[in-house]
Amino acid sequence: MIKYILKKIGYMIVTLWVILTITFFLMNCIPGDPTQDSMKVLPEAVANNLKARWGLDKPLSEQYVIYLKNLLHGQMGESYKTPGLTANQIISERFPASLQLGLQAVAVGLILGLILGILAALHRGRWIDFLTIFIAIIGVSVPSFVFAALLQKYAAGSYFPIVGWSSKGMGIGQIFQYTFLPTVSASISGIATYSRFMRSSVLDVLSNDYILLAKSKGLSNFQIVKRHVLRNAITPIISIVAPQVANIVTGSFVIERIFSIPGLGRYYVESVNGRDYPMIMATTLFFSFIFIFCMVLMDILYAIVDPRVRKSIIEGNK
Amino acid sequence: MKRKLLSALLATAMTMTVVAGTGIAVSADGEAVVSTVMFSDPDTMDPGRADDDQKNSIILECQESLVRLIDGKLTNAGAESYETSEDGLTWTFHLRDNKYSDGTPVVAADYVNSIRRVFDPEVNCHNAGIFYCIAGGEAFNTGSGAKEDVGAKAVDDKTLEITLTEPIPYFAQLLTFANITPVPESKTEGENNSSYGAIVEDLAQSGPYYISEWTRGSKVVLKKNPNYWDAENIKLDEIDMILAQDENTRQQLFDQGQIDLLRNVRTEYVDQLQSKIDSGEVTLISGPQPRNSYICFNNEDPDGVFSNENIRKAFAIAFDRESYVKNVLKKEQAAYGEIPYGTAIGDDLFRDLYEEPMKELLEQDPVELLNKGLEEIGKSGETLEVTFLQRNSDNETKVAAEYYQNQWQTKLGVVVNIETASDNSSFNNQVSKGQYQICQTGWGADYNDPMTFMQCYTTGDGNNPAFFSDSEYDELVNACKTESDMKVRGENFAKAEKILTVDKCGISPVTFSYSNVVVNPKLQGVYINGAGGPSVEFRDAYLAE
Repeated sequence: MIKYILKKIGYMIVTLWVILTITFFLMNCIPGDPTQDSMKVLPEAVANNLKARWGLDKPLSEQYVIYLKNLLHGQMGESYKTPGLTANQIISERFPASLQLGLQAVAVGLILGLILGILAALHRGRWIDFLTIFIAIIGVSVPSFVFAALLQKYAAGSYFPIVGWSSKGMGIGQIFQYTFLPTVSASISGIATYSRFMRSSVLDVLSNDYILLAKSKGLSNFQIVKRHVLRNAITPIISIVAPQVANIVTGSFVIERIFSIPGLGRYYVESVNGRDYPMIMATTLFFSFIFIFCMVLMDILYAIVDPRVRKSIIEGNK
Repeated sequence: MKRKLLSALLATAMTMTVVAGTGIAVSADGEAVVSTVMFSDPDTMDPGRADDDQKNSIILECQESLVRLIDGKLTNAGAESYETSEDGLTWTFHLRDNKYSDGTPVVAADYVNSIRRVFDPEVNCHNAGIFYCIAGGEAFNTGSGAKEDVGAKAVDDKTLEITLTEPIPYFAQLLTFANITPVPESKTEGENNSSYGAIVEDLAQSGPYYISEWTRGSKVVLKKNPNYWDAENIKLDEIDMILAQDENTRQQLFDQGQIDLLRNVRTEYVDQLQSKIDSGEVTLISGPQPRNSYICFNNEDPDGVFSNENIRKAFAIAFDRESYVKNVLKKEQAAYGEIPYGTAIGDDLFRDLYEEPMKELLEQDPVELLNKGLEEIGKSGETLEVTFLQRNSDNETKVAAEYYQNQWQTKLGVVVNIETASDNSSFNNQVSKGQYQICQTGWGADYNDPMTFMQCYTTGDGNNPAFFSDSEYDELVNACKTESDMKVRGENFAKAEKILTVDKCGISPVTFSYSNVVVNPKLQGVYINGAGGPSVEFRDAYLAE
């Protein structure tokens, strides 16, 4: 198993290197440069000074080698748009808010989604089933920023703030106030997706003979779900959760913008628009890392949940 | 009463003291706290790097410029008085006894340090070009001079002397810039020269307020600076600036009384608030902003279309500005000249003295002009096909581009293709290289003088996206750089404006900005600035009883 994990980590490093190389050269192919994001043209001297300071006056291949060297030392470079702060500092400063919001949204999405999915499958054709389908359709088709705007209009006010984020020293109550609306907005699509998948997955499992056997043994519905349905039905969910977790914990541009959350989301869009090369590289690498990490974690989870997978890994290693 | 009581209860639970419905927040100890919004997330608080409206608005509340714009008038601030030498080249400032928020006195050397930093290649102040009128500045900035040779000298702790290369008549306007507010050299030595402004605790703050809290991506809290020279007349204790980049969010904040002032609101939102404005629950401050947008023709069009004067005129005329403003933008005003309302010439407003010149052009028949132009470029009888470069793929930009397309296709019978730049940076890159035929762009004043608009279209200027070139225009505008008689300058600018927009039609203005600011009526004494100074000046603001 350890050998398997190490192999996965090896692949991860190679994948990251490929991604960073492709991004580096693609990024430099986009027309425009970091001195041109303002409508006002900088004096030539100022633009040249900036380019020299950022090392953009060197040939691209040299810039790439310098970047790789710095990266090996853990340095992702100073952001062009935020003088005085490095990409490392920005990520470490901004990631916690995105992570907190993301984890909360995933947790709410998973818990509610799974419960709704299971209930809908167990009560197929009843009101709870229709409610789940309705939530799934709404959650998938209506973008999260629409929910966010609606929540701001009707739910925010004197108790839930319209914008803002909790800061150090705040109690649980205040953190709840600040994070409730963004979490709800960010979790809607998760609830929809997970409930839909869980419903069909549970229905699949329920049609198996071993469920019939369990029923005939006189097990209660709760026992059947707990012992036989959940474990078998959850495997397909794991494969959709992993990439979603990566997406959501690395920050949402829209939700963070609407609720003014000091997260990482804005940098994915703004760094590209502003040609902030170090931030483009840093956000891409960071996102890729989290994404691949989640995929590796998913493979490991598979092995834990499904003995057949575990067996094939062990056999494969032999 | 019930709402207030409920809010008061919640306030204790939340420590965030909001009195629902009224907007003005008064904290438990009776301090006057006012809230407003930030439209963008400031990336630095270094005055030397303040290059946009948002950063200027914060930094100028926390820093004392030599002169401040108070109620639209240049008013001595960091300088108690100043005089100019007879040749207009040497400006001597006598500083007030002012202190930073940490109690350290502000001295002339601090202003000298800031002026040098404007040209410092390590700082890369985006506005450096505007200050090239200061002796030695350009040389230091371009690497051919030393910082000691920049024409700013501390005669003693309280006397600052600035030497210019030419007697710029509008130099006093430049003194309101955040870039040249005082920063002690000790704060910007060595590595700190590049990183100053990243950490709030390190900032030198000499203004009426100081930044007490800065949560990047969320909010900035300003508090009254007790060491400010005029602290006794500063009535607000705290200004909370909440980041709200989304227009809908900003309106929610204002609707729910969580902010006291919101600027740049659309006419539609003003209409929604009309009944509250009429009943006095909301104050509306409206006024022109020195900013324009215009149809930018590539005067050096590689396809040889818009290098023709008659074709440019045809396109300029065949565009209904009134309908565009009313139906598409739902804000701003139709423009028939280059220099916006609100732009000053000396003590007067330029537009009070000189009418917009374009109205006579619009009386001509565009189709006739187009046919004449096509004949001149040897395409007589052909259906003209041109490409309009759209700035980005935002919905608003797209709708505007389609309006342009529709106007020209129906009124001129031409084919207009729309090419979309991937984002602003690509657009600017393409335009600056002349790789376009026709597009829409605009200009906002850097300082309050027509020069800020007119200089752009002089031959070879870096900010001349139309590549317009006319010797008479150049002569008229360049003469205004050193002419001190405001009447002569005004006439020159008016003549030059007519050449640019009517006679040669190098560009064709479309809109002038018009700003609507909605304010809680209890908040009084705020000044809305156009060019120069913070966009909202809170120095004299107070809460009405």
